Amino acid sequence: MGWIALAYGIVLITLTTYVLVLRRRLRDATRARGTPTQHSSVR
Amino acid sequence: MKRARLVLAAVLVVGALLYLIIGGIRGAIVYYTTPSELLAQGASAVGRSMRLGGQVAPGSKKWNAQTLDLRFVLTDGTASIPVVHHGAPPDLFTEGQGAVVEGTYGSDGMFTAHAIIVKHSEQYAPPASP
Amino acid sequence: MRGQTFLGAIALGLLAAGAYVGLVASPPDAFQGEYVRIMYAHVPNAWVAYVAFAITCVASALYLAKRTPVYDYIAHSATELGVVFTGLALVTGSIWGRPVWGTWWTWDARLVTTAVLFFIYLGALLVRGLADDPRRGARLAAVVSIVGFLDVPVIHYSVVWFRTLHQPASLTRGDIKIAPPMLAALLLGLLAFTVLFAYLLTLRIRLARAEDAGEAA
Repeated sequence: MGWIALAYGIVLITLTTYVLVLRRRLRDATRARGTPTQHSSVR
Repeated sequence: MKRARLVLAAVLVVGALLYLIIGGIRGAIVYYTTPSELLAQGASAVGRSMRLGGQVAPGSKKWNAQTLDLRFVLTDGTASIPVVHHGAPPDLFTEGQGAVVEGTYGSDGMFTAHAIIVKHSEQYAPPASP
Repeated sequence: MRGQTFLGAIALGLLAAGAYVGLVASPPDAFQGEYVRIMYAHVPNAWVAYVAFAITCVASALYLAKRTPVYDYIAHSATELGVVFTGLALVTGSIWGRPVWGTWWTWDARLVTTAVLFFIYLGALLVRGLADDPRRGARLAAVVSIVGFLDVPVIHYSVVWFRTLHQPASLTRGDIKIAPPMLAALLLGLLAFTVLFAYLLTLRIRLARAEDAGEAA
């Protein structure tokens, strides 16, 4: 049943990572907008 | 507005191209040849690398554990072609199911396969309870 | 904002339910046994990718017509999501094919046209970087996205037009070729991924807007 675990695992890991990356970028972008002098070059 | 017309033109051109390509190669994009088509090609098919697809004829599968030779017959209901393959088939390879083999057709009427791919249908159902 | 979190929570719940039904509650298949469960992870990815590129196509056309940034935010976001989900559809299809067909990849019309779709929209993302002016990049991406969408019907009908290894659609109008408990697992997967997609799209559009505002500041 390794193939099933591999397929579900890759979908789970990819989408979780994508959500986390989006949320972090969103946090950085809103923070950069709020205080342009500080964390504006986070990315 | 000029740009919008330009985009529309690009879409139409690419659409027409795709239509022509698909129409033109529709006959050429076949993943596999059927046993009937192969026999119809006659001698010109001999020695050419190709894919042959059909149903594994029930009762035709013979596995020799000593020599690791697998023999079976692929059929499309009309024509049948004997196939020989060296090595074990995929797990789901069974008689009565679809299969596609890659290899060459010999002058002796035997298809020598170097790869076997199992083809399944779009029907899904739980196993019949005993 | 709160609505978005709510949407994410619903997506999470549906995904958990879908995984349970797909992995545990649904029966194995008569022919492929347990491997049929990979279908519940494969088909929803492909479906959501189609939805994403349909949105990309419409938003791109609106952007070219009206030049309002919001349409580009939508197009850009949907393109990125579509590339992610097409990639997942290709990978899960490959993993499904390995035990069932006996091969990871083969030059089948359905497989090739799907891989072409992946690269068309990857190209649409990359072409933005080629232009010095971001608005010019957005216009280029819009053109690629609209023209590239022509591949979607080709993929969908590839299993009908061409003789392929890939099986034809199991869900067509008036003809369902899946037993009810397996159909339930598939439909739940499709629903869960559609809600997840809606959540991700709203999140990604907010990000596009925020980053654009950040650069302008």
